[in-house]
Amino acid sequence: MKLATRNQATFLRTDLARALAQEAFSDSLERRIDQLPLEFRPKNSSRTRCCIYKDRAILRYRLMALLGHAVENEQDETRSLASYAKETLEYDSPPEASLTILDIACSACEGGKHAVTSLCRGCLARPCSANCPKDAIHFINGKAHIQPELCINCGKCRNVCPYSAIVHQQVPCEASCPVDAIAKNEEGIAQIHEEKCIHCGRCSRACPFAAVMERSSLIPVIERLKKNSAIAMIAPSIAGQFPGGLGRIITALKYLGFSAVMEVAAGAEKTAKHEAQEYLEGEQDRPLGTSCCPAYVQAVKKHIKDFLPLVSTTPTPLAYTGAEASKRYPNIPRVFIGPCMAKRDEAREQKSAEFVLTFEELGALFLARDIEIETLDESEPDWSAETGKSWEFAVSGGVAANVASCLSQQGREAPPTRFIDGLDRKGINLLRTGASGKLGNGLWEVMACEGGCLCGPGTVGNPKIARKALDEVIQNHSPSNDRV
Amino acid sequence: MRTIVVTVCSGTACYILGGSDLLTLRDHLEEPYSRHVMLAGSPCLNRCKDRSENKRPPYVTVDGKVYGNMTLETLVKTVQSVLDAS
Ligand code: FES
Repeated sequence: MKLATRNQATFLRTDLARALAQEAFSDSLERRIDQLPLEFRPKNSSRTRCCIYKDRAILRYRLMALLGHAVENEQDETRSLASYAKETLEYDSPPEASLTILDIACSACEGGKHAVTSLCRGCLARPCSANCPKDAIHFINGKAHIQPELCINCGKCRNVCPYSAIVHQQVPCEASCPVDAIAKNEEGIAQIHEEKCIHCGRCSRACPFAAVMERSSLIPVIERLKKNSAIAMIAPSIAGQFPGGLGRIITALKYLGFSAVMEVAAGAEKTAKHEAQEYLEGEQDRPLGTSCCPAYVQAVKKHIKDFLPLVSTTPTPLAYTGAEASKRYPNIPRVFIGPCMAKRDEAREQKSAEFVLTFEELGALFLARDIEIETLDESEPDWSAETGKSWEFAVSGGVAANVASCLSQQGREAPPTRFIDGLDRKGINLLRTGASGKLGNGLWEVMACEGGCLCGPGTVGNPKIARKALDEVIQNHSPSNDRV
Repeated sequence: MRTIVVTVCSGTACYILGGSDLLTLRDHLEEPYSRHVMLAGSPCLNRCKDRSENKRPPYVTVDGKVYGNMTLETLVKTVQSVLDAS
């Protein structure tokens, strides 16, 4: 099951971020933040959970995450949000880890288990119990029952039941995670295991209760926007995330307080050229994996170490853009704005950006400042790609297409290419096999999100509509004056 | 069946809060309904500032009437029932 791009849960998250940002922009954060849960769920309002008090408690935790705090670490339930806000303002840096679980929002989904449904006929053959290696199936009143303490979830009973009466109840977050980094603890509450987590963000999208949240950098970024001291580095997937087209989005970013706007697509041009060169010079008997998707690179580092030597060492589009930004605007904080939750690891490790925001968070900033993007004039970016081609990095197939086009400019043939479009369990296994050399050579383009960055967990635009907007940029893109 | 105009608000608030999903309406309408719909985007309909309960973006007008808090499913249903009644 796929939840719509935007739903009630994402609405609430964005609207709360909007309210928080509004207070931060008007210097009233500490004074007002403890009011927000009450204003969002006033007395006599309708409620989502059992009562407005629980709703408010959850809103409090959402605000903590938006302030950048880890909800799991809360020691003192009576502590005011104002004191958390104060800490955020003083700390003034991006939070360390990226995801946090709102344990009281987690509904402790029943699941991960096998269960017998009412379809059970209590047949004579009873293949379920005959095939159970743990003797976990017993019959009560002629119907099968699984004893949970014995069941090891092997699924044999489910496969042999002639009535399909046995189901495997999935926990959405667990099922979505390709590396088993999220699992329920003894209390049934989901927990993220940082040593395994690749920050792909799948669980945050899969959870119907929106209980997995990002620890946001909104507040420290807003503080810099107020001083007009921040560089926006925009990912190519920004096309179609907001109305009005690229030129107007750039104007809107300047209205917010960004002093310069740089296209990460310009960095992507360099990545493509360099990666093409690396391919030509590399050992042609083994695969070369692309380097730009940080969730997949994390997956390789944490889970598929054999593939690590095959990952391209070419700097990512963000690495190039970040380097250019610090050359042009030394000491001004750089903010990468993209669809990605994993980019934060990359930005920190490679020091390519001081802060990372998602499009959803940027959207909340636009709302907080009442910016009507579609009514603005268009502006040019301060650093831009030479052509629209590299904007294709935003979609699956686009990175390989750019590398191929660099090679063809040198009169070389396109390399044989394998696409891993969406890093699920199958994709992970493919990388494992690839590392052993059994799948041959060529370029391997890996995107952790199916469809590419345009479908990332931090997006707000419908992928199909966004794709149209992206194509427009690709076709009509001209380099800014600054470039020519 | 009449042909009706469906206007999806593409102001900043509506677009971010789900409006862009609604722009795919045509993919989710069956015949004969889809032939009787003219789909258009529109700048901010000036409804988004109203934060009273149960009213929220994204806003859409269907045959001149404004609806808030729209999802693809509710939009498809609304369009069908307006067309059925026409
Ligand atoms: S953005 Fe739709 S009503 Fe304002």
